[in-house]
Amino acid sequence: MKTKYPMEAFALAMVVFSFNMREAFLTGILLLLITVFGLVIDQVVGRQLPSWSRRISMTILILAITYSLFQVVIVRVLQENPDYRTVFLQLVAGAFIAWHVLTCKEADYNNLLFEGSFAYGALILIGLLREFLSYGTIFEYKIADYAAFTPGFQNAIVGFMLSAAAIAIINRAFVYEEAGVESLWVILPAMIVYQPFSLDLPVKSLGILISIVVAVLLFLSVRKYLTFSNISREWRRLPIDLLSVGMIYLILMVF
Amino acid sequence: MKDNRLKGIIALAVVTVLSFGAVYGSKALTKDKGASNEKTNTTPEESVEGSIDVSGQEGIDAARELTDASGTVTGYAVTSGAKGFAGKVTLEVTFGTDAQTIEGVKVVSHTETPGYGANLENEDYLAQFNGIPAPVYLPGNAPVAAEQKEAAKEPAEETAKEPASTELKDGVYSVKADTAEQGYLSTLTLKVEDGAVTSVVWDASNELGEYKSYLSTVGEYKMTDDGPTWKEQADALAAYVVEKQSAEGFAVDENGKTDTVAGVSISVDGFIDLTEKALKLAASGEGAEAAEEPAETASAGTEIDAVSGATFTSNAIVESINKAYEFIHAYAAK
Repeated sequence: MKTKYPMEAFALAMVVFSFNMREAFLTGILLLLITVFGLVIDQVVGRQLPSWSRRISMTILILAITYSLFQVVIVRVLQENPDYRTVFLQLVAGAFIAWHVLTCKEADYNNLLFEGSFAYGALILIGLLREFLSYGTIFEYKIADYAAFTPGFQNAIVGFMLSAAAIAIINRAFVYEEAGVESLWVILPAMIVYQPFSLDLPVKSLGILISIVVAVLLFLSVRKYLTFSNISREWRRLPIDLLSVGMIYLILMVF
Repeated sequence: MKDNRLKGIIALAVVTVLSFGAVYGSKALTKDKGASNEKTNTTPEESVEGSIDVSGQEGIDAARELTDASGTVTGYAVTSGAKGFAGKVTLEVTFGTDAQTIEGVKVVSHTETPGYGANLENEDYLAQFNGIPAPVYLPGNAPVAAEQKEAAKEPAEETAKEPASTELKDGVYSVKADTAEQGYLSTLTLKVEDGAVTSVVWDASNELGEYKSYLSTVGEYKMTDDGPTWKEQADALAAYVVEKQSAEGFAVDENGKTDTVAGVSISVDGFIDLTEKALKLAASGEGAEAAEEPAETASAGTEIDAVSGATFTSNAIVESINKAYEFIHAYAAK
């Protein structure tokens, strides 16, 4: 079942772009802007092209727009320097938006913005929660200072779990069943950037590769068992897979 | 069809306006917060003026004298930066009138990892700098001058110092590797006195701030069960360079090992690269720190806490503060 809003892009953003409220606030609106822009250009120009040309040109256009927009906002406006991992994840989100645009039969802007705003709201809420529970701040303003606050909420585990819950709630609200693509495409980029553990090997990249492969294998084996589980409709596919990865990270964190 | 296109263009316009609002709104909020912080931190009597020329000063972005209403200098503020884990960490360090006591440290900008290096922004962490004398150092990494005195004792006594074939400029030269190897980032400090190398100190630290020299001494970093420790081998390599006054003469095989220095079985590629880098700097005099501390400097530095789980960030903080201190101390001494 296909959603009206780019669910995969928002799911990835909820995991990796929700460390604080400001990041979530900016990422969400930019994802919506890129999606609407992509759909408009696709309608006006893309549909006039042969399908192979449309796919290639729309993908390149949306990736370029994603990269440029984030660079303009982060580097020029906010005057910060994103590292290569952030840029990689932004491009992956752009790729999900390109996929969403290309598989849209008819652009439904009303529902896109309506459902997208709920996803945006969920993203902001997750960013707010993670920032507040980590540092007691909201939008970098100190609100409270309790001993219970811990930077542990910045860990990818929390991102995966909160993202799973948010997507499930949105699915329930809009009656989506088994929505979205193969969830591994959403989870893998997050795993590449935020590995569950690190190995001290002579070749560092081998250690990184092993940790990613172990996490992926564990996820795939858990998913096989989930096939036989009685999971409610809104949790099927992406939400339960995100939750499983969060649990796997929690276990692997011991190492 | 046309209807849908029009809807799309309207939707695009609306979302674009909202995006602008969101972006500039968040920038303004952050900027306003910065401005209000400056207001609360400066007393009405102090005014920010008297900028100091920092052209040609590596790592120093800006500096100014802090003066009160009558124009009397009440302190100095130096903005300096160093490379952390993900990018440059820029700090504003405020010094007292003695150009040594740190009155406060503020984070100007950084791109460190949230939950790790980004914890340098915590007020509790920054509060440790208030009122301490510079320079600063991390646990297990005492000031260069103190280390050099110890390391220089044996080589100075045992070997005859031959002047280097190319004239070296006096000073202390510190270099570090570009990337960490096997989780350890190597650093090397070379001291030149009267045109000759008198001391070389080679060490490596991991992300937790633990040094190989320390770990090998306490048995937590073992090469072999009964062979010399990593520190002993590093000291032997250093002694060889002091004796030969160069990094040449090492016969290195394809695995980076050498038979030139007895008892050394560790890989020496990194050591040779860093030594050559340091000797190059010494030949030009670039980046030299003072070889001897000035008489009026009473303390060898203050130990500070590292940012938990973020060695690169912690090293960047130390480097940034010490650069600011060296600059303003030299300025104030004029």
